[in-house]
Amino acid sequence: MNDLFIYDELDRAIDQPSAPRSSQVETLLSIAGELECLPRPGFKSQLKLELEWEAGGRSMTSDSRQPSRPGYRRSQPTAVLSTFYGKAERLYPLRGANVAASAAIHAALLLLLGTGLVSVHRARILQMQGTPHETNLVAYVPPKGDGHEGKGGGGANSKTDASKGELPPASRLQFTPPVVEIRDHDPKLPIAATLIAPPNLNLPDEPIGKALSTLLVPSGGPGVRGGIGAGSGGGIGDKDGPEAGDGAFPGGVSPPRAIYHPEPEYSEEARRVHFQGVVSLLIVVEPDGRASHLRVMRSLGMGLDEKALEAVRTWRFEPGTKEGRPVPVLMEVEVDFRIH
Amino acid sequence: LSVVCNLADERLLIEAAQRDPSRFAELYEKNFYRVYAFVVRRVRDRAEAEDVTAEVFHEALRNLGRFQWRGAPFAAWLLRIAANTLADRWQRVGTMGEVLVDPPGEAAPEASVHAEAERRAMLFQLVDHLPQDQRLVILRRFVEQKAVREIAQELGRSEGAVKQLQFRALETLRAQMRCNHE
Repeated sequence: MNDLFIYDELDRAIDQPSAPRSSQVETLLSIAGELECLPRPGFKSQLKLELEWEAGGRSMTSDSRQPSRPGYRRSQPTAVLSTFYGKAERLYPLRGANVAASAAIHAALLLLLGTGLVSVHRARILQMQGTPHETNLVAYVPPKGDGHEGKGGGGANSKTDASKGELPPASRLQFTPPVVEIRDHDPKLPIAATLIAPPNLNLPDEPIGKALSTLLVPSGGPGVRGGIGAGSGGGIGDKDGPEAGDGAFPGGVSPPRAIYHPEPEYSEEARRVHFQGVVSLLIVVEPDGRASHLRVMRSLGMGLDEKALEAVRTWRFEPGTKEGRPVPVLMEVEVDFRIH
Repeated sequence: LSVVCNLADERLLIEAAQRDPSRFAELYEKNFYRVYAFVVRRVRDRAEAEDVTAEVFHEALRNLGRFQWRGAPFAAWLLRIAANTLADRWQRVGTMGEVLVDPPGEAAPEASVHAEAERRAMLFQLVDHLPQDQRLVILRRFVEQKAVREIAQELGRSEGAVKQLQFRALETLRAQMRCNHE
């Protein structure tokens, strides 16, 4: 009971210096007063670490009672290459054999580089960053049109269907539409018949006609305004236009067909301001049906280009085929962003 | 302090630290509380005492190579650095119109100052050697200035138990101080 009383008396005296106290408490109180100047608990070890670092990064071990503070370091220039100068032996051991092996490997690499035996090539993907023609897939460039059909067409007002034949040379400009029956054998300004298509299409010249026709008797077909077929416009085929089209891409390549095409997500930035539009991408549909070499041809910005690329990368196609074999096909896809 | 080695040992320790600065740790351990106690008596608060103490030891480490043994304890050199550091501070603060406790001109005689610092340093060092629960109560009560109820909650003890630990800690310190003086 006496003890309990003196504990309370001491505590009361610490809080209220004017409170009455016994001589025993008075003695303890003078010590308590001095303890108010004690340093913070972690200060001594913190300063020790600072000095340790200043002394050269070596750890000091004379006081194992003091807790260390891992990661606490002042930024000092001596930290540079501390391992190399033997300043980090407490962090991890420095093995001479490892240092020697590392130095030898680096020296050998520098020697090889110096003598030209090793050269650095740019990654191939960087070379793909040019125009789409650099992919060497121009033979598979699909013509623009509705759906995936060619839209060439023409005709010579014949009673019969167009006769079988090959396509004329391709050109980006057409001065003379292709004809099956040549009526003027002595023109004043002879210009070869051409078909509007990429000029490096390597197609046979003779005889000119409709590729899928079964008719062997020469005929321009029942179409109008020149060309061959049942359409109009100086092309070859049963549609209207100066190009070639029989429901297949030039060169007999069937178009790829998207069989899995999830819609892209909207970017948060575009959604906030109700931004809409169409991102146009140029892609290569690989024989395995995946889209590769994606490039943005018409950008919308606000994060929608990235979202379009992200979505089309997941698309799967039934690949384009040529002579029954899946082939890579370069094509343009449009990703529509609309807020409903 | 009880851990003070004789002057010959101290000289060897200083020479070792001059050759290899990492040995400065031993000198730091033996003299930390001396310097801190000397400084804290002269400055207004704990934070400033810690700043000055840190400055003193950094300065000592930087200039350890210039220290020349003349038979005086290493602590005397450290306290001289501390006095110079405080004088610089007073000079700087004085120009700002502030007044610090115990300016140099009003200081007590050097011997009694050192004796007082030595006694207080011993007390601070003894706190480090208290049993863990007593030490925790002392640090929370006198350094962090917490009430007994708060400490009891933190330590999961009753208020009575905390008051008892406080009393026993102070009793232990008093007994050890008396023992060391005798």
